[in-house]
Amino acid sequence: MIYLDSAATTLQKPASVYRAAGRALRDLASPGRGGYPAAMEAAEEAYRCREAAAAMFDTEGPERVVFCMNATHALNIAVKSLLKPGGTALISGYAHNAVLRPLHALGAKILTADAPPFAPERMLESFAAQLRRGPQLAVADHVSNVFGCIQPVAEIAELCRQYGVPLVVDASQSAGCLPVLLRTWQAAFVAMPGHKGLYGPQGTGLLLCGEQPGGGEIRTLLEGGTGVASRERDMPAFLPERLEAGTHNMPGIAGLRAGLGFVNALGTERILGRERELTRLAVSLLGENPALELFAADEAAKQTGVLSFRVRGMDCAEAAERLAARGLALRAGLHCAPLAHRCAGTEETGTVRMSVSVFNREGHIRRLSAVLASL
Amino acid sequence: MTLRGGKRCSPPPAPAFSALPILWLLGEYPLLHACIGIRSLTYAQRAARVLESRGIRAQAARAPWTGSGCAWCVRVPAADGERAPALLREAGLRPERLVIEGEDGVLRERQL
Repeated sequence: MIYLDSAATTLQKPASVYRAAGRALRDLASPGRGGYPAAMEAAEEAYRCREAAAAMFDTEGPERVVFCMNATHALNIAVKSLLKPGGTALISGYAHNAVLRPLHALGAKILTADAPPFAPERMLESFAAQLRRGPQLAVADHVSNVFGCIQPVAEIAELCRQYGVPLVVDASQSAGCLPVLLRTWQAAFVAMPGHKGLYGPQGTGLLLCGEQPGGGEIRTLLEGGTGVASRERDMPAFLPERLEAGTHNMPGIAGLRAGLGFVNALGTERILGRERELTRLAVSLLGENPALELFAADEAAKQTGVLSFRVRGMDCAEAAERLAARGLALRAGLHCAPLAHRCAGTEETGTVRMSVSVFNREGHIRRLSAVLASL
Repeated sequence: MTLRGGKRCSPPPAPAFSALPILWLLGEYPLLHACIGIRSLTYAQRAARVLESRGIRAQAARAPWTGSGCAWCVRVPAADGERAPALLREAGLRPERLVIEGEDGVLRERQL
């Protein structure tokens, strides 16, 4: 199988991740519970993962790195902590359902900053216009999971500061290939999965916690055992324990730490460069096929390793099924981001999405091109 | 206060050399130690790192008391027990309790 669905999850992991997760499964007990070596080793592993994440993502300290099940879990905490039911939130037109659905569940009034794909200047103008309408929260996706278009998050963050609107950044598609800078952006939260660009196991995610508006307390999504102050009925007031109820996923966290090490060793610039090479090759090859409609940036700098396309006269789901039958793993449909398709005019059909990782090769892209030509 | 499990330690015979580094390497705490109570395991781990960076051997551990349940501490050699809390405060950490093991092996609470 040629795997081209890394925007869903990176299937192929570095060897260090498999080793770390396996060792954790064998040797690590539950951190923050017992005081014996297997538990304290687990605690040390978890802390080192927090340290690595804090260093990589410009976070004040390891305590402000919260382990989550995935980015959706992290975004739910962030959104529900900052917005009261019925409040007004501003999102980008490329927001994932991990943002849209929690807001809908809150009964929020949703303002949308719309722009065509790969038009960061227009996205910024749209954000500015919507911020003037006084939302209580802004959520910006760093990179669209459908089109790979890079949003001007630094500039959006500056606008949010000017308007005094707390910002949540969804770094699901950018963590591991673009700089993610909690303190520089002065974001209230940054959410990311561990299992995509960070090459960690599924079942992991990170919520980076910045300064909260008015020094407010972060609202909990889950309450339970924390290994701290067991007599108290309330969850601890301090991070990270406040947001980490229950037993940690230590095989996941150990694997994530190894994944962070892998990304750190390679460097995000090199990773992005590699992904862009493959994406531009795909644009070049697939662009020669008149049966395909590509959604690609005119400049490589505006796009990551995600490329959507449609096959003229064929349902996207059918195209993906035919590709799978020929050993090519791609995703089709709306990609849990219906608004993105509204922005791009693909709402009725959805798209087929190719998304690469550093483990893909030019040969994989050529094979995709050849199979598409034969459909 | 007695040690966990009700055991008391007799002071060891004076070694001909310092066994402390070997004991630490083996993961054994020195027999004479101090426990500085910290609000959570994560903060105890940070405290250990702060103290290590200031030349004090330190390790996050379960505290030898129950308190509000699941108490955590940073363990240091008893000789460093008095100065370690001040170093933690300088680093923005909040020591909550100080307990030092005496020559008779009994843990005694000290005023912070």
